[in-house]
This record gives sequence, C-alpha cells and structure tokens, in this order.
Amino acid sequence: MTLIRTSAKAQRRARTLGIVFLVFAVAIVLLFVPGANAGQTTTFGFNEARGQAFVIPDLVFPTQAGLYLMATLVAFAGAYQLAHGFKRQNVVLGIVAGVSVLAFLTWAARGQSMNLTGMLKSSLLRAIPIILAALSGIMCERCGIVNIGIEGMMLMGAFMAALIGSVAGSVWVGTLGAMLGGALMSGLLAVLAIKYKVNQVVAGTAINILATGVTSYFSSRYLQKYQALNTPPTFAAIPLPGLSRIPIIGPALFDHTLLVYLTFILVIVIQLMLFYTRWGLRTRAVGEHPTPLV
Amino acid sequence: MDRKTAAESNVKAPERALGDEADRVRGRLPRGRRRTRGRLRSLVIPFLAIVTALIIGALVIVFTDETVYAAFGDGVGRGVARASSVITRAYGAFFSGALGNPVRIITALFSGQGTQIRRAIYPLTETIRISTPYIFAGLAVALGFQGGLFNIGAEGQYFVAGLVTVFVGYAVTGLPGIIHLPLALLAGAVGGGIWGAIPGLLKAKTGAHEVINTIMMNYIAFRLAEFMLDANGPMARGDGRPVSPEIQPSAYLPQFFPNQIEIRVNTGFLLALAVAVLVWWLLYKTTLGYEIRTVGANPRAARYAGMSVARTVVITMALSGALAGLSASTDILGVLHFMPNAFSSGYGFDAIALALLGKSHPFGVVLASLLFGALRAGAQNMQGIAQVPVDLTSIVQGLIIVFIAAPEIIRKLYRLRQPVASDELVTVRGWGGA
Amino acid sequence: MPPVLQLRGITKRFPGVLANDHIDLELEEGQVLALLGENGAGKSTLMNILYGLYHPDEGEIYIRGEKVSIHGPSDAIRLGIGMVHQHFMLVPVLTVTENVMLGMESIRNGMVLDRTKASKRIREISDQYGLEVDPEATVEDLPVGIQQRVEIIKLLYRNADILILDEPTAVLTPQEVTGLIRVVRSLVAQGKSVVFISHKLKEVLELSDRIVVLRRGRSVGSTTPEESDERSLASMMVGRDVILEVPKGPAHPGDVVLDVQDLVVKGDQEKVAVSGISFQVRGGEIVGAAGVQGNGQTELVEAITGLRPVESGRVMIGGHDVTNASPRAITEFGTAHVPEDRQRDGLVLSYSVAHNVILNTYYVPPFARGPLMQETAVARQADQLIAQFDVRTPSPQTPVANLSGGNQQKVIVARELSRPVQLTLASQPTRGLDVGSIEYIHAQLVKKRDEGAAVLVVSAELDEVMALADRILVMYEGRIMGTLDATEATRERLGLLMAGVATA
Repeated sequence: MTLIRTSAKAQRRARTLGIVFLVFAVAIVLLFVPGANAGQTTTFGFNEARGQAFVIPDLVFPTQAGLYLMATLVAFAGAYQLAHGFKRQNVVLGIVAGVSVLAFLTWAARGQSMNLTGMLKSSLLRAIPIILAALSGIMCERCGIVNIGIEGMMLMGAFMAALIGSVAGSVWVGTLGAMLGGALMSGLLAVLAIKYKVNQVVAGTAINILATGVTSYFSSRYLQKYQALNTPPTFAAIPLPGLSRIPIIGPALFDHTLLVYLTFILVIVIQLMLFYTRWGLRTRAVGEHPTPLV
Repeated sequence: MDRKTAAESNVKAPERALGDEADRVRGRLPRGRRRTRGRLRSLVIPFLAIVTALIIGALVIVFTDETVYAAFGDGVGRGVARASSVITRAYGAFFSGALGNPVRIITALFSGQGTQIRRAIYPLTETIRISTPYIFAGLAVALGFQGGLFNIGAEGQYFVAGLVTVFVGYAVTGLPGIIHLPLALLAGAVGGGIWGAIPGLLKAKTGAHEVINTIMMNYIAFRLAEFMLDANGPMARGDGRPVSPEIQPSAYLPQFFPNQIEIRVNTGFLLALAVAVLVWWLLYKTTLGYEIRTVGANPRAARYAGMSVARTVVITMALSGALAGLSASTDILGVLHFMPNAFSSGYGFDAIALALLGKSHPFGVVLASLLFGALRAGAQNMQGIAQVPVDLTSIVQGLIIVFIAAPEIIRKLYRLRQPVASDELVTVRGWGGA
Repeated sequence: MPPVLQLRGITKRFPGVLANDHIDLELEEGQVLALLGENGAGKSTLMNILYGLYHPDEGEIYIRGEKVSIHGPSDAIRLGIGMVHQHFMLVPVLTVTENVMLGMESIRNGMVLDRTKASKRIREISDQYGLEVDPEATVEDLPVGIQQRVEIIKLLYRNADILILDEPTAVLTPQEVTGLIRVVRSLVAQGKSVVFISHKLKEVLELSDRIVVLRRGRSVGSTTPEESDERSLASMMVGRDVILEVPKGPAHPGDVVLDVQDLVVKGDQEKVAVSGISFQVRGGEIVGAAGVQGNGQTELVEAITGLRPVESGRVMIGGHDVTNASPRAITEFGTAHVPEDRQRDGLVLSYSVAHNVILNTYYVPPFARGPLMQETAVARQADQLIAQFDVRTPSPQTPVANLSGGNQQKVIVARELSRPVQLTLASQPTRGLDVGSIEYIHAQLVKKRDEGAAVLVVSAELDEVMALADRILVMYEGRIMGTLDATEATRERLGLLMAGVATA
C-alpha cells in the first residue's frame, strides 16, 4: 500500500521534472534568442591577467546558434525524462540548470566578450559570507534552534571587525573582534531563549533590530566622524603557489585571501565535527529529539 | 513527568475555583472593577518596558557623548551636570519632536493664528503619519498571532502591495477619485493578500512552516521590486531614476491640510483606525474571528468542533497579507505618491515588535504603533537638534521587544510579583516555543 | 543470596493521589517479574521511582541486599538498572550505533568517535542475546519491534542487569510480541533480571516467573503463573472495592441509530487499530464499550465522529451514510461527542466557559446571525447551561483553564448533551473525576437515553460500563470479543473477554 503510494509520488515528481525541463527549453528560446541579432557572436574568455601555466584560447561562437543548441539540449533532457526517465534525476537537474545559466550568460554577452574565470572568482568571493552564515545556520538547525538573528550577528560582526581592526591595525585582531561581536549576539539569543524562555523567533527578531540599532548608532556617532576608526586593514590575496597557476580553477579558487581558504577549511571541519565527534553526535541528537540524553 | 503535572493540576484547579468562589462570597471587588484592575495590571509590564528602554537609551547617549567625559575630567559635579543637560537636551528634542512643545501648542491655540497652530502641532502630525503604516503592519502580524501563525512576511507583502498600488495609481487614468482611490487601496490589499495566502496555502496543503516560507516570499518580493523599479525596469519612470511614475492625483488619500504640503498627515490614519476597529470586530464579533482564534489557541479542538483548520489558516494568512499590503498602499497614496526602488522601511519587521507590544490585540497594536511613530518622529528631531543619531530608536525598540518578550527581566528589575497564568503573551506554538 | 532487587514499603503521593501505597517487591536474579495492573494502578510510578525519575515519600530500595538511594537515571544506570520506556527514546535519523553510544561514546585519538568499536560491541551483544540488530541501520528505517531491541541494546551496552520494560507489547504486532518473548527468555537465561509491566494477561502468564498485581496504588497480591489463570488474574486486577450504582429504569430500545459495518481504521503508526468491527446502537439504549485501553476504542470513536479516516467499511447514523464525512457534517446529523482527552480536544482552555459551550454550534442561530456572533445569545446559553448542569464557575466569563477537572468535563457534557441529538458518544467520560461529578455525568447520560437517544459509552473502567450500560461489547485488539446483555455480564466474564479469551 505504502509502496504504491510512494512510487506514485515519485512518478509525479519525475513527470513534473520533465515538464520543468521543457519549460526551461522554451524559456531559453523565447527569452534569449529574440535578443540576439543574426550575425552576433558571444565570446567567453578564460584567462586571468596574472601568470598562468598556459593560455586557453577564447571561446567564440554565434550567439543564436549557441542558444538553439542549448535549448535543444535541455529540450532533449526533458523529452527523455518524460519518455523514459533518468536514473540520476538530480544530476540531470543540475546539468539543465547549468546549461540554462550558460544560456543566460550567452545572451548577456552577445556581441561582446565575458571573462568566465573572473566571474567564477567574484561569485566565490560573494558566496563566502553566505557560506559562513549558512554554516552558522547549519549548526543552529542541527541542534534544533531556529536562528532568525543571524543577520544581526553578522551586522555586529562587521561592525566589530571594522572598529577593532582599525584600532588594532591588524586583520587578525579585527577578525577576532568580528567573532566576538557575533558571539555576543548569539549569547544574548541563548540567554533570552534558555533563561527567559522567549520564543526563539521573537528573540531573533529582537536581536536583528537591536543589532541594526547598535551598529548604525555607533557608526554614525563614531565611525563616520573619525574615519580612522573605519579604515580596517584588509586581507591580501595569497595565491597558492602552483595551484593558482592552473588555468580557470587556479584564479577562481586558489588566488584568494586567507579568510576564503579558512572558509573552505571550516566547511570541512564543521562537517567532521558534526558527524565524527561526541559533540556532533550529541548536538544532532538534541536537535532531533531532546529526551534521549537524560 | 507529565503524569505528575497532570495530577497536580487536577488538584490545583478546584482549589483555584474554590478561591474564586470564596472571593465572591466574601464580596470583595465586584467583577467589573476587578477586571479593570486586571487590565491596568497588564499594562504595567509594557509601561515599565518602555521606561526601562528609554533609560538605557539615555545611558547610551551619555556614554557616547565626549563632552560628558570632558566635563567629568573637570570634576564629578560638572560631569553629572553635563550628563543631565545632555539627556535633557536630547530627550527634550525627542519629546518635542514626537509630541510637539506643549507650551507652544497652547499659546498657538490661544493666538488663533492658523500658521502658528500648524507649526506647533507639526511634530504630532508627523508622529501620526509615521504610525499609520505601522498600524496596518502591526495588525497584520497580530492577526497572524491570533490564528497561531507567524507572519514574518509583512515586509514582502508590503513590497508587492506597493508595486500593485502604485501601478493602479499611475497606469489607470481618467477615473474620478471616489473610484480610483478605493481601487488603488483594494489593489494593494489584494496584492498583499495573495502574497500572504501563498505561504498559508503551502502550510495548509503540505505543512510547510510559514516562518520559512514567508521569509522566502520576502526575498522574492524584494528582488521583484528591485527589478520592476530598476532605472530601466518595466515600472520605472523612464528618466533614468529608479522610481515609479507619480500616481494620478485622483488616487491621492486626502490630506488634512491640503494647502500645507509640509504637514503630511492624511486620511490614511483615519483609515488605519477604522481598519483596527474592523479587525477587532472581525476577531471578537464574527464567527470567522472565533474560528481564527480557536485554530490559533487549539487546532485539535478546532477540528473537533468541525472547523476547517486548513481553510482558516489560508484565510488568516490572506487577511494578514492584505493588512500588510494596506500599509504600503496608504504610504504611497497618502505620502509618497510614487514608489522608490529603495523602499525598505523595516515596517514589516517592526510590525512583529508592534504585535508583541500590543499583545496581539488590535487596540494594543494602535497604541504600540503610535509609540513607535513617536519614537521615529522624535528621533528625527533629536538628530537635528541634539545630534543624537536616529538609530537610537532601533536600540530602544529592540530593548522594548526584549523586555516585553521576557517580562521576567522587568519583574526582577522592579521586584514585581509573579502574574497569574492567563497573563501569558499570545504568540505562536511550535517553533522555538517552550 | 539476597534478591537482585528489593523494594520495601514504597509510598508515593501526588497532591490528592496516593500513587503507590506501601508496595513491597522482590526480584530474584534471572527472573522475570510481571507487574500487572490497569492503567493508573501505579505501575509506571513505581518503576519511575526505581529509575530515579521520582523520589519515594517513604520506603527503601535494596540492590543485591544493599540499601541504595536513586536520585536520577544516571544513578540507576550506575546501579545496573535500565528502563525501556513505552515511548522509545531514540533519535530517528541516527544509526543504531549512534543511538546506542549516545551519552556513552567511545572515543579514539582524544576526540574522534570510534564507531567501529561501538558497532563491534553492539554486534556482540546482538549475537549473544539473539537480538538480530544491524548496527549500521538507521533507526527510522527499522520496524517498531527492532527499535525496541535497540532500546534493549542501549541498556545492555551500559551493562544493565535489571531491565525494566514498560508496557513493551503495547506497540508490537503479535509476531513481534513472540520475538520479544524470545529475547526476554534469552536475557534471563544469561543472568539478567527483567521487570515486565503489562496489563495483558496472556503475555504475563506466558512470560513471567512471578506476578505482582497492583490496584489503585496497592499491591493486591503476588502469585505465579502456575498457581493462577487468566480468570483469577482478571478479578485481582479489576477488583471489586467500589460498586457504582446508577439509578435507571429498564431500557426501551427503538430504531437503530448508529450502524457500524465491517469498520477498518488505522492508528497513528499506520497499524490497523480497528479491524472489521460491526455493531449497532439503538435509540433509547446505552451500549458500553469495555476493554483495556489501546484496543482500538479511541480510533473507533474518532472514525465514527469523522476525526480519523475510515479505511473500509461503513458508518451510518440515523440512516445516513456518514463514512468519512466531515466532523461538522456528522455533528449536524445529530451526534454529540464527549472526547476522550477533554483538555486537548474538547476545550479551548484560554476561552471562557461561555465561548466553550458553543464550540461546535457557534455558527448557527441563535449564536450567530450570518457571519456575526450573537454574544447575548451566547451569554444566555452559558448562564442557562451553567445552572442546568451545575457547573461551578465564578462566572461565565472565567477561562475554563481555571476550573477543576470535574467542572471542565461538565462544560463539555453541558455543551454536548444539551443539544437535541440522536446519537451520543462519550469516551472515558468520567476519567479522573471526583465521585460527585461521576454520578452527575452518569445521570445525564441515562437521561439522554431516556429521551430516546442512542448512547455509546467507551470506558476502561469496568464498574462504569457495568453500571451504565444496557448492553456491553468488549473490545480486544481492534475486534469485538463479545457482546453481553448487562444482566448477564459479570466481572469475571467481562475480564476474560477483555483479556482476549473468547469462550466466555
């Protein structure tokens, strides 16, 4: 009985996915193709200015033809999915999403050239704060806490980093300051939620408002007046020897500041901590079901 | 453990009932007066929360004022004097910015001169103007709380409603005001309502938590507005600025002082008060309100009583979204007359504070909104005159929420007695709740 | 050799309730001791005392002849006492190994979890006692019976040698019960001692070496399977100290009002809770559904009232097919329902008495006119019902949370029985109430019968069913074991039926 039900569900999902793929294909044709003139070409560059091991030639192709090719690819995926169904649906979904993004880029770079490597690099840079905040979210969710206040914690961290970093003139002291600022706010959340039994969502909201107030108040009182307090040193990029000279992934992944590398390491460390230590086991247990730990 | 508490409560309850019975026999306070006293007592915590937050705000002002430190360098007496003069100046500016200068108002009233009176009451009108969208947004969140739902999406509903309202405002032409204005308001309510109903529907159909979904709907709304109102966006004015076109005058909410542009208070405030009464009436006088509150208080009992919990959840979220939408509509039709790209007001998030502060009661929300309006208006003046950054209000607001949500802190601070259980704050169950 | 475990004069009072009254107990090594008793007899309280969750007001605990005091589960575990709760304390998303090691993790290199070591130990334990548990499996994928074994492994992993199993068969299928019995045999064969809490006579007779029967917090006897049978155990369990008498005349059954045919209903864990029940209730009669709790009564009532989906079969009320109709539609067909869990289902505790007495009629005149509530009519109704049903409340505006349990129940009874209905369903209508309230509610149900309504009373209390009902049907494992006329029903016959013995 249940078996039949789940497979019906799976079937529905498979069908929906196929239709979604087809919609993507149609969207590529309808949204992007009309924008490109017949003779236009798209150029994707892969080279960064700094010395890399060897140079990859730019990829130049006619925009319209490229878009049609991508649309066909996606449409084929959709048709196959509807007719037979892929085994590894999620992989195909990823590929379709990737091709669709590529189609968008092809359209955006019509008649000009775009450096894909540079774009990858800046994407990663912009992803770093989100990754770190998500790690915070993961730890909270795993132990069963709804942390709406991450935004406020980040604000406080940014403020402390600017202030303390400027005063100390050290990126490391500034980083410590940021951690302290975030920890201060999450400590407040913990006190409110545990000691005073405040609903976690309410406490998180309060923290966001409070952090907004405190940081903007002090920044307009001091940081704007004394610019010296708001000129923290910044981490310099440290290209990893050898690795950074690999074309494409070198500049994208291995030509960054220490904080970026630290983020890579933190992702792994937190994974290990959550799944391979006593602390992690207990945290996950508490998050799922607090009673077993009597 | 449960068994124990159950056993205990079984026994305690009759004692309590007996106590009440005994009170009645002894003829203590008549019921009506006791209830008034109870209501007054329930105001103690919010009042002390506000006072405490303002005191801490004052301390922040003093501790961040260099002249105070300098004066303390000249001696403690000087320092104290300087500190108190700094506070008086800041909070003086704050209160006169929020409420006006009473002396000036009275003299102006006696002088009978229109200009003087208008100048004197200007701060008060600003407070009222700012509190207007607050009332709507606060009602939105409060209504959700009453139905057991946490609508964090008021901000997103506000954005979507803003887009819809402003579109109806500028794109529809040639209508008389009596039709155009209600149409624009309705458009905002419907836009916000749909935006709120979607997470409601998701919750009713799949059980997906509304906190997550309203937050996600916020992001969609923010980016949608950014896209529509981008300098080259579909709803941009076309002169290179990231703002919408001006709405037709036929969609303006009438001003109280149409000849005085600087006085921005408008009939939107009356609308807000009327809607607050309407929400109160809906919640406490209609069967739908009874259903909303029952689902909020005990969904199992609601099901037992034959109510459709899913339907009620969707309706509650739609109404909540509509209220949040009206917040944007009144702001645009009454004050701005167009929609800027950077429209972030924080109303949607402050609204959570308002609902908490007003204990999810419509009239409580009105009072809380007036307070927050006063805080914002006063802070503007405080920044202008005493150079204290406006952001002090966020600190004070944040503290007020903390104190209201954790009344234990206030009770400890002022050595108050423990309350009766029924004084508990109305919020949502589940997530993060104890 | 002193007994492994000895309790002497354990007494535990909760406000107003004497949960354990000078209970003595002895458990020998390698023995299975069954604690038998109805719900509320004090079995769980006693075991929670042993496990350190409660502290006894009087009495002593001896482990292997040494007096001990147990202040918490950690003390109990240190003394070798382990408990498998009725509701498992497992984390569904973790593996068996992770669940077992949780709180007592093996660590290597100072901080890394040593899963290999732990799972090796679990495999050893599993093999030693024939538990057949895969350490690498994720708990949520395991059937309930295996999850229970994981709980047992948790105890053995912590070197417990006194194992308390709290109603272990309540959640198991018959096949799983057989497996559990095998496991328990293997445990005691290798020197462990087991306390087995149950209210199911057959299992107790099959499994235990000694049986202690508790009733109303007192130990009413100690026996062995050899010198007792289901009949004697049932009568010990049910007792006969209070005889309730409900003044009522003979019934005059009329037309069939409630007609249930081949009803199948699933319980919360997708387990079939009601398996093909058919019965009828006529107007003017009270039918009592007796049975030990958890034999499908709750699901039966929920299915009739539309709160739980019907898998198959048919429910007719007054000639209308109401199978899988909405709760409101069923109410509107003239059904009153006094729910089993009055605080969770039957009341909104924060609402006033007045707003609770209209909980399911709030939308019809005179309480509503169109979409508008008519507060005056509501208040009038509340005043009238408070007077008529003798609800002791300071005012109609008092939140029901402030009323006593008895008065809370009277609010529900007032709401349900004041309506003109053809069918009244009452689940555990007097559980936990004082004698005065019980008598009052019984009288109201009889009155409803005399007005011509069909009344179905579900109760775990035999006295109540016998006193109230004109006909008694006994439920056992989702089926009706037998239907007796009130005049021919004796405690012994009912007890046997309740225990699943068909030849009564």
